[in-house]
Amino acid sequence: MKKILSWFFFLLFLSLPLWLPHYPLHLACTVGIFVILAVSLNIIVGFTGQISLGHAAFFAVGAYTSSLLAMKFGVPFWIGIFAAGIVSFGFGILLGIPTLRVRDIYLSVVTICFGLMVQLALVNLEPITGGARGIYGIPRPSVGDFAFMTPQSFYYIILFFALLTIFSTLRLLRSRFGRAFLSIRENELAAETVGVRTTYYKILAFAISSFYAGLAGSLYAHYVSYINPDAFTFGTSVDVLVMIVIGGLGNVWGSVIGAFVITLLPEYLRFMQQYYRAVFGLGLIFMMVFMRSGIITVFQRVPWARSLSK
Amino acid sequence: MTRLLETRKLTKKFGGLTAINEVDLSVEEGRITALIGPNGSGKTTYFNLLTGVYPPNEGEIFFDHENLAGMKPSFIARRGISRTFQNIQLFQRLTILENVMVAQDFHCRSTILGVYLRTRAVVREEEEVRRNAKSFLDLVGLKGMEDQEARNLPYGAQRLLEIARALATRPKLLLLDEPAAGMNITESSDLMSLIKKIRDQGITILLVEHDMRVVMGISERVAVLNFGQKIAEGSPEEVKKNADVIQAYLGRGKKRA
Repeated sequence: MKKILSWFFFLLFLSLPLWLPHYPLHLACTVGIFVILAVSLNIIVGFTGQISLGHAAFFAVGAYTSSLLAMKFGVPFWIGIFAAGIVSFGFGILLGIPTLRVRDIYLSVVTICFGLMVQLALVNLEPITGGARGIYGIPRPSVGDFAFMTPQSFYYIILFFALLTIFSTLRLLRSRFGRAFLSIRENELAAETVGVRTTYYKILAFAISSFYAGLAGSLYAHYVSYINPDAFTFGTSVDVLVMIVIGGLGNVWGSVIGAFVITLLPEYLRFMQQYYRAVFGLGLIFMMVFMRSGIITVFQRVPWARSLSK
Repeated sequence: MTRLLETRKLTKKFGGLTAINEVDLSVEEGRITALIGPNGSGKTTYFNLLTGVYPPNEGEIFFDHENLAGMKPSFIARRGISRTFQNIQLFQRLTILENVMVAQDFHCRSTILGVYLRTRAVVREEEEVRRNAKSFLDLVGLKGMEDQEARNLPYGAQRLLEIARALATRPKLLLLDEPAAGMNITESSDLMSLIKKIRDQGITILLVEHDMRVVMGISERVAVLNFGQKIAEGSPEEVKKNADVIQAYLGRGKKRA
């Protein structure tokens, strides 16, 4: 049953560009990018038990790195996206360092400030980042003569990286690294006394998470081909945090579901016109009250879906 | 007999309170040593100093010819000191097996890249870690409960899981902080034979315990703390007769007043 279902979803997502109209397909691309952001943030928050309200900063670092490489040095997307990941990884180490000294609410303030700093830097380093106007005309990726100009084709690039993020994160979390992350979440003192180098693993969690967020940033930049600091606000960080909480903290598939719900739900509430944001907010509050462990718990009650939720 | 652990003038102050006051204590390799003393005498604080939970204010902790004073807990664990906690500190929402697997982390060689590519070495190591974890669970008598979450275990079993987890780091010295607390007489008898079995595998044991039946039944040496100072040390028989020890536990008698 699980196999059939997995194939069904795989083929469904593979076939989307064949039958989805333009706008819904654009939404699917957006969902894909947010899947990467949510799954990666979950490594820090859901698995390692640290808090981060600055995830948009890494999204931004990735977006600007790969855009600038493409615009100023003509670096192709396929190299730029990994460069974006690596630069973001470096910034992740930077933000990981405060976690050694501060935790909980204090850490959340540090991460918020980090996000604001990055955003301010983007606005003010005008000669490099284009300031508030941002960067225009970021080239679409291409292979030989074929350029991924349409959402239909770009969708597959996003799908590929989203799947890469999901399955590589699952592998990571089912290894010694995942166990070490979880042990820090569960009991940092005990983790230390059984020899887990908690400082190393906390920084590693931030760095790996940032790497993926950097990939997402690069995808975003080359997909919309125009970026400015408004796309990487505190609000974006909050959105991603809401995704992983709504989906179910500490569960990779929960984050995927969260990314879908938070991206798509407002779209389907638009018929309520000016009230749709309010209804959306109310919906989230109800979900939190009645499904505190996230939407994924619904799946955990269904026998054949249970294996998905591990 | 060689000394595996030796503290020299080990001191810890909390504000104006001297919790551990210039304690010189040595633990001989391959033996079971007990650390006893009335409540608040500093036994757990002493353990916390040995394992790096707190840095000492003064003094040295020589372990295997190396001064570990002021080192981080994970560093000390890697050097071969492992412990259990009086107030249980398990990874509550991890399974029993995972609790013991985590404790082997610093013996693992897998790299991130290896994990992503799922190389044969990574798969083999993972199997080995799992197999080791099962054998430690087997040793303490928790076989067949591997997939339950630690928080669902009964209290006595949680204490045993702490021992299995501590053993999984493959320590030279195992510190047990009141392992028999909350156990009935059958359970504590089982515990005594388990501790002996662990010692027979070549692991030195230092235990803090209030249950005198356990202390006198298995320890070869006993040290006594009172108000942060060592007041006696010797064989169980010697310590039992020591006037200072009797006074610390029972108070000053009329004759000596």
